[in-house]
Amino acid sequence: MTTDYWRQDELVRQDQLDVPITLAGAGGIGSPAALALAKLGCRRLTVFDPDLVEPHNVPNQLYGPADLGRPKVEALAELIERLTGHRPESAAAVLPPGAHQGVLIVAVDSMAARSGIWQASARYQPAVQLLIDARMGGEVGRLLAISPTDPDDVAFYESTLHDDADADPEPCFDQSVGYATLVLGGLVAAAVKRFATGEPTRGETVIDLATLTLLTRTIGGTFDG
Amino acid sequence: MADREALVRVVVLGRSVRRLAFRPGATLRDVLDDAAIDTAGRDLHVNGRPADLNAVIGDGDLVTVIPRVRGG
Repeated sequence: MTTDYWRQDELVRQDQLDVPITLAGAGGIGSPAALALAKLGCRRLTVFDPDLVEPHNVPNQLYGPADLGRPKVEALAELIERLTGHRPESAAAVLPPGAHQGVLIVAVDSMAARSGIWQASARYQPAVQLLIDARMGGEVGRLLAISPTDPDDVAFYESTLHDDADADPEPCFDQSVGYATLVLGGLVAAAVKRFATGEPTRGETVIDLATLTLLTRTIGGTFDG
Repeated sequence: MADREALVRVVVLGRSVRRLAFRPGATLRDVLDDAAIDTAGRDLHVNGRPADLNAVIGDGDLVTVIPRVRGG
């Protein structure tokens, strides 16, 4: 059976999504982002994550009790294949260093890992057309989308790469809740769609489901909202 | 006649939205101290622009406190 995308063709055509996408992290943001991208019709998706599914992943990630102990990427690829008919490429490993073509999505769980990926795989790498870095804590999410070869974008992004010790110390921001991860996964897919269709993509989006706040800004701009 | 109080909307993402009154000339530090809002690990903005604690707050201003989150 083939998939019919006519109900989204006015938003994005399938040929526009023929771009390689690399996703680092198959956890709270990464697992729903991968599913949203696959549902959108992205067929050149590769997911990296070295972790196994643990009991605390079940409430807020796309894994069930039957997946406990399995590599996340294996369970995720199986789920996506069942729901879309297409199995993404994946590896139960951290993102290997080096340039990755097209869109690079960073959905890892620490600032140290983000900084490592930035230095090893994105900074001034012309093969990476768009870097999307999605972060969350509690009900707050931040999504940054930049061109890693644009000096203004590089300066902006590096200003956000704080140390893990400089993150908000309140315990609630070390928590993760399923409805927020689903929203962030959708925002990641929406950013890829904007990129694929040539709409403005670069900038920052902040969303908070506790106060129902949505803020956006372009690179170097001020927050609207 | 006394100066009118400045009404400020304070949004602490992940926490609360409040509308608070301050004397004219109050700084961002005054606003945050009076509202018992901690700034550790948080980015501060006034009317969408990054602001430091010495920024003077005016009537109708929007103060936004954004936590630096790191999870994924």
